[in-house]
Formats: sequence, C-alpha cells, structure tokens
Amino acid sequence: MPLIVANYLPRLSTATLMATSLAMRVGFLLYGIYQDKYMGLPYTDIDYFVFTDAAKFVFNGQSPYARDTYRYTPLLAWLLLPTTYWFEYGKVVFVLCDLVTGYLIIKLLDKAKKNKSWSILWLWNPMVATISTRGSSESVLTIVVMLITNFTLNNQYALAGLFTGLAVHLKIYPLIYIPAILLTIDNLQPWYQPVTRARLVFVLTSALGFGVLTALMYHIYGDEFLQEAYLYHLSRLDHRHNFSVYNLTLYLSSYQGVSSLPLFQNYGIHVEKLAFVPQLGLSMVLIPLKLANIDLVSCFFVQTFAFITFNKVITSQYFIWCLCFLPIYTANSTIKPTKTVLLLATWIVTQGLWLWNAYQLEFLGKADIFTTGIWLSSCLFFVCNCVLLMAFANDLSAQKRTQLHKKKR
Amino acid sequence: MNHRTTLFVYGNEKAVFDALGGKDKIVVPASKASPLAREDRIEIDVSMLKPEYRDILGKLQLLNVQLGRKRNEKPQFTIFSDHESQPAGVRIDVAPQTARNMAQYEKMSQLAVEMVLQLIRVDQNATPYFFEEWYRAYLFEEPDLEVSALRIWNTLVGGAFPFTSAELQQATSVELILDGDKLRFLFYWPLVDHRLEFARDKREIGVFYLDSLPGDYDLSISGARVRGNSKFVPTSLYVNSFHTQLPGVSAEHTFVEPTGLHPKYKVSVSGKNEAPKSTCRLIFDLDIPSTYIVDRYQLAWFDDIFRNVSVFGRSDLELPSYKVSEGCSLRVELGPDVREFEIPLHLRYGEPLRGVKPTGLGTGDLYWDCETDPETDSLIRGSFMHENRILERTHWQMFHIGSQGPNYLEALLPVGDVRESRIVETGTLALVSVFAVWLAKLFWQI
Repeated sequence: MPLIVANYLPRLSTATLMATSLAMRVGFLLYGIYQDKYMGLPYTDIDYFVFTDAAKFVFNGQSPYARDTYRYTPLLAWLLLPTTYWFEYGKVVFVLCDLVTGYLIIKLLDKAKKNKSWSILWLWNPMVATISTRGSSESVLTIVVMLITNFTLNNQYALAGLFTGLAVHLKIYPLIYIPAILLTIDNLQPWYQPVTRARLVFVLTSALGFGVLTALMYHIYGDEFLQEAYLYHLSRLDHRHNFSVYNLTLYLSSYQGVSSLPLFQNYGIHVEKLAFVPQLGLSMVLIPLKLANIDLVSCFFVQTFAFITFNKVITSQYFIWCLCFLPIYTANSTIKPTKTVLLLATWIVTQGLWLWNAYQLEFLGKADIFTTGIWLSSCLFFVCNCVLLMAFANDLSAQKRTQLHKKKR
Repeated sequence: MNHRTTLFVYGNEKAVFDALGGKDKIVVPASKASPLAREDRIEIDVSMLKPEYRDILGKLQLLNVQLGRKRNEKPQFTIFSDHESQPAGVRIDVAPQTARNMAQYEKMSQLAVEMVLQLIRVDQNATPYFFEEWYRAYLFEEPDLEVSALRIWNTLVGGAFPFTSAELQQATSVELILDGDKLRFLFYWPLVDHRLEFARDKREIGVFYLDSLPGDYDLSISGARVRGNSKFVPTSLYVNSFHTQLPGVSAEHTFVEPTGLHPKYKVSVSGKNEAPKSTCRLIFDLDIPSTYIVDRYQLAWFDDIFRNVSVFGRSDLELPSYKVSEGCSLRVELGPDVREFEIPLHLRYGEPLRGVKPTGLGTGDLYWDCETDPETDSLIRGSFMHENRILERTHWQMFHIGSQGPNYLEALLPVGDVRESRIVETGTLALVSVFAVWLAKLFWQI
C-alpha cells in the first residue's frame, strides 16, 4: 500500500503532527464534558469510574480492591490519586500518554526512515482519541509497549527488559512479546545454543521489573492483589456478550457447568481452558518464530492482532493494543490500497453488524437474538479478523522475499 | 390466644353502623358499593405452640415473615399502611436474640430462613443478608398464600384454623411476627364486598370509620367494638403512627421503556410533597432480587440526586443470576426537593432456557423519615392499637408516599437457548480450529 499511497501522503513535521493531535484531543475532551453534563448517554467510560473510585479508596488509606470490579495493578489507582480533587485529571493523563505513544511512533518511523506522517493512523485516529478521552487507561500501556519496542530496536536490552516487566505487571498480555524479543536478540545464534549474555540480561531484567513491582504490591495489598489483578483472569466466567467468537459457548457452558460435547464431557475438558491453545500457539509461538526477524514491529502487530482475535473476550479497547503498531506496519506493508480498503470496510461492517445486534439485545431487550444475531455476527467478525491475519501473513511473506532478494543482490 | 378483627369502613358509614349487630352472630354489612378493609390479628403465647418449635422460636425471639400477593391496582387508603405498601413475594427478617457472636447470629438466621422456607414449602435457596441488624431473605415469586398460611398454622399451632378456605383465598397478605414470647399472625383483606358474619366468641371485633386522614396530633378515630355476647360499644382507635401515609401525594413507580438489559426504575411524585417536619429526610428503599444488579458506585455518581447510597447485602456486579442466590436491599436518601428520579438497574444474564424471562421486582417504598417529638411519641405509645411492633425504630416516624398502580414491576430478560449449545459449541470449535490450522500453515510457510 505505501508504494502508491505514500506518494500522496503529505510530509508533516513532528510539531504539526503533535499540535494537531493535541488540538483534536482537547476538542474530544471538552465535548466529553459537555455530553456528560447535558446528554442522557454518558461519554465517560464506565471503567474510568472504577479507576477513580479505586483512587478514592487509596486516598482514604484503603485498598483499591475495596472497589468492586477493580482488577488492575494498584499503580493505576496511585497514578490517578489527583482525580479525588479533579475528576478529569485521569483523562488528561491518558491523553498525554496517548500523545507520547504517538511521539514514540514518530521516532520509530524516523528510525526506519519512513514518512512520519504515517503516525496519523494513531495520532489522528478518532478511535484512539475517543478511547483515551473517555478515560480508558490503554494508552498507559501503549507507552510502555512502544518504549519496549524502541529499546529493543536500539539494543538496550536491560531497559527493554525492565519495561517488559512493567508491561506484564500492568496487564498480562505483553508476555506474548517476550519470545519475539528473544528471537531478535543475537538472532544469528544457533538454536541449540539459545543462551547468550544479551538474552540473559533481557530475561533477568524482565523478571526483575515484574518481580519487584509485583512483590511490592503483594507486600502492600496481599493475596487480594494477586487474586484480583491476576488470578481472577484465569477463572472469570465471561458470560456476557462481547465480540469474541467464544462468547455464547461460554454463556451456555457456564450454565451447564460442563461442555455440551460428549467427548469433552468424558475427559472433563472445558472450552474456556482449551481456548488458550490456538491463541497462545499462534501469538506466542508460531508468529514470533516466523516473523520476529522479518520486522519486529510488524511481528508485534500481528501477534497482538492474533491474540485479540482468538481471545475469550474482545472489546473495542483491545484493538488499541495493536493500533499503536499500525503506522509502522502500514509504512512497510505491500498490501494494495484497494485490498486495504476492502479489508477495512469488511472489518467495519462485520463489527457494525455485531454492534447492531448487541444494541437490539442490550437496549431493546430483543428476544431470540443470542444465536442468530450475536453469535453469528461474532463468527463473521472472527472470520474477518482471520482473513486480515491471512493478508498480514501474505504481506510479511512478500516482505521477507524482498529482504532475501535485496540480500542476494 | 387473642383474636382481634379490625374492620375499616370506606364510606356510607351511617348505614354500616346502623346495621351492626345480630343475636347469635355479629353481622357487619358490606357490599360492592360499600366495601370494607379487614385485618385479623391473632396473638399466641410461644409457650402454647407445639413443643418442637417452642425451643427454636424461643431462641430466635425476633422473626418476621411477610407473604404478599401481586396486586394490580392501588388499594384504597386505610389505616393498614404496612400491608398496603407491602411488595409481592416472601420476605423473612430474623434477628436471633440468643446468639452469642456474629457467626452464631448468621448461622441461626440461615437456619431460621431454611425453617420458614420449609414451612411454606419453597424449595428455593435464599441466602439471607445483613440489613440493619437483621438478616433478611427475599423471594420475589408470588407465594401460595393459602397453602403457606395453613402449613405455618398447622405446624406451629395446630387445631382449628380460624378462617374458611374462601376467606383465605381473598387475603392479599399474611404476616407472621415473633416478638419475644408472643407470636402474631396478621391477615389482611383490602377489599371485602360482601357482608361478614362472626360467631360471638372470644374474638374482639372493632369497626372504624375515618373521614379524614390522620395527622400528627389527630390520632383518634371513632368506631365501635364488641366481644363475645356484649353489645357494640363506642370506642376510639389510635393509629399506630410510626407509619403514616402522607395525604395528597402519591408516587408512580415504573420502568422506563424499553427496559433492555438496563432497566431504569423511575419514580415520579405527584401532589404536594413537602417534608412533614424540618427534621425529615426523604428516603427510598428498594429490595433488589438476585436477578437484578444495583451498582452502588453508579448511584453515587448522581450525588445531586442521591445524597447517601447504601446497599445492604452482598451485591455481585458481574455474575449471572444462576450463580447468585442472594438479593440485596438498596436505601437512598434523596434531596428534599426531588420529585422525579431514576435508579439505574441492570439485569443479570439469566438461565438460558429460551425466549424471554419475565423478571419481577417489588415496588420500593418512598417515605419521609422523621424524628418524633416527645409529645407525639407519648401519644403513640399510649394508643389503643399501639403495639411494640418490631422492625421499627421507636424514636422515628415514617410518612409514606403511597404508590399508584401495581406493587411490582416486570422487565423481560432475553435469554439464550441451552438446547442450541451443542450446535454453538461445535460451530465455534470448528471455526476456531479451521482458521487456527489455516493460519498456522500460512505462517509456517513464511
């Protein structure tokens, strides 16, 4: 795609990109305040209330887990302590994190000698701006993930490790990046001698970053922290509707207590446990193995996309996890513009179809919509995401061939 | 055993009082044009109960069981405001007075709830929750009032049941109150439209008429009473004014349509809703069944409407209804000028038994909660009908805002269909497997 589109993409300066993005977010923030005050449907994300309530508990000397459904690291509640006095403070922090993520994307594009204007896919992306200005904390994580990417590409493995530890402490899923990073460090090392000094540094600093923070939080908040922030995610029911293809199966099996398939019943197999196999097999093993040494950022992008596609729960916020890699991936992509438009349109349409069905259920209480509405549309969305993953695989395969061709020449 | 029947004349009082009488029987006229409200109160010493229950009830000392039928229309105003504001379902409140510690208190409460549920032949599990020093369990299903009342009577008391089957079928609520060494049965008929005949026995019968609603200091109501072979004699009844219905104001309880999975419980007050005294606070109580979620944090965000929000009992914010057995109670203090408010509720995912599941909720109670001045307090305490009713703070006075329309609301909850689980699970696994293998092959070939 960039081969053609890049010619039409204006070359904007970093200052212009950052200033316009800031202006856009200020606009969104102000609109959000207006909508919250004057309209029936609130703009502010429900999770933001959870964060700010938890911050109030911390402010009053209590545990953030005193707030029901707070299932994050206490660091987040600490970070948002000033919301006790200024409610919008957290949103401003998230917007700043979202802008810093954009700046790090620009740095990566610069380093790869690509047009910085590709960063508009993040910086001018209304989905990104909406999510951070509604008070979703994903941008705190995207900064850390982009720092990991920057440090890894600059061969600063100790720093990359420390931030990887922090990222996994914040949310478990960045664990999937560890195999890809290890494969790019000393990539000429033969497979039968995997241990190198640099890899060891990365692993140890990752363990240190995660271990110190987790031990500190455990020391302060005890078992409650482990249960709410980590263990809960292994036992959660996930029965309410969401984009995931597994959703209806999980709802029905949570009622029955067992799988409806006799074979699974005989062996006591639960679908929710089985779901990890294709998800982690693809995102944590196969994709890093094949893509890490073609392009690390593209590898991260595809890994994250596969992780979300095969996850037991999917919400719109999850796509922010891979959107931060999109500008760099797109700058290198060879997918044709017409195909890109078609894929993007299909993604939007299938997601829209699911949202329409969810609206019918959630707000209108329409009957008999679970199987023919919600589940079928989540199946279509899943197929669309898989088709996108296929397109990414073919694209990276083409990029690899180009790289080999260049090397031969 | 003391049996007292209180009849309340709605209108045409002269004709009723003129016709009162009868030699062998006491006859009280009533018709569709001139109906009555009736409350029967039977008080029994715990020592007179069957021995197997004497000990248990002696240990509990405080127990209240309310059984209410669904009501489709607003009852006419009477003095029986406790019955009138009673939502449909079964409510059990227990406060075991002989428990030595909190664990024992909880355990005894659970056992008491189980005992009551067995007595009324309900095989549902209802875990009681702590509510203002009591343990409360709630079943929102409409109880089989006849069977339940007869079972309770036969099991605890035995002997002849004091009502006919036809009488019992028309009762709308039954209450069982254990208060120390006394056990009371209360039966309530809001609308009796046929003449009543009572044998001249030990029962005391009082017939009363009220031409205006009682105020703070105007607690006397004229009437006549009779017991055994004596004549009707003039008497006066003092309203137990801990609970009073506020005149000239009513509240409409509705769900905002469409309800979807997030019903909004709307209360609109019409009429002049002014605080009866300067010390009063406007309170709204709502019992939340386990099929609904009330998010105390969400309510706290509307601090311009809700001054204080309390949820009694454990209220999980995520689990489906088939994983939760206990409901909870919500109490909010409203600003004194609030005339309309909405309580955001959420429906839990229900048992996937196809289609839609009607999910009921008893209407809440909107009232002014006021401190009683010493003068009124002494009047109330000295009144004819004053009884040391449990569940009431003796130093507070409640002015209820009567509700219009039905005493329960219903939302339709769409549910999945478990019969499709095999198709769904097979389809999901096939789809995931096919694409996982396809993608694995594609990535492997890179």
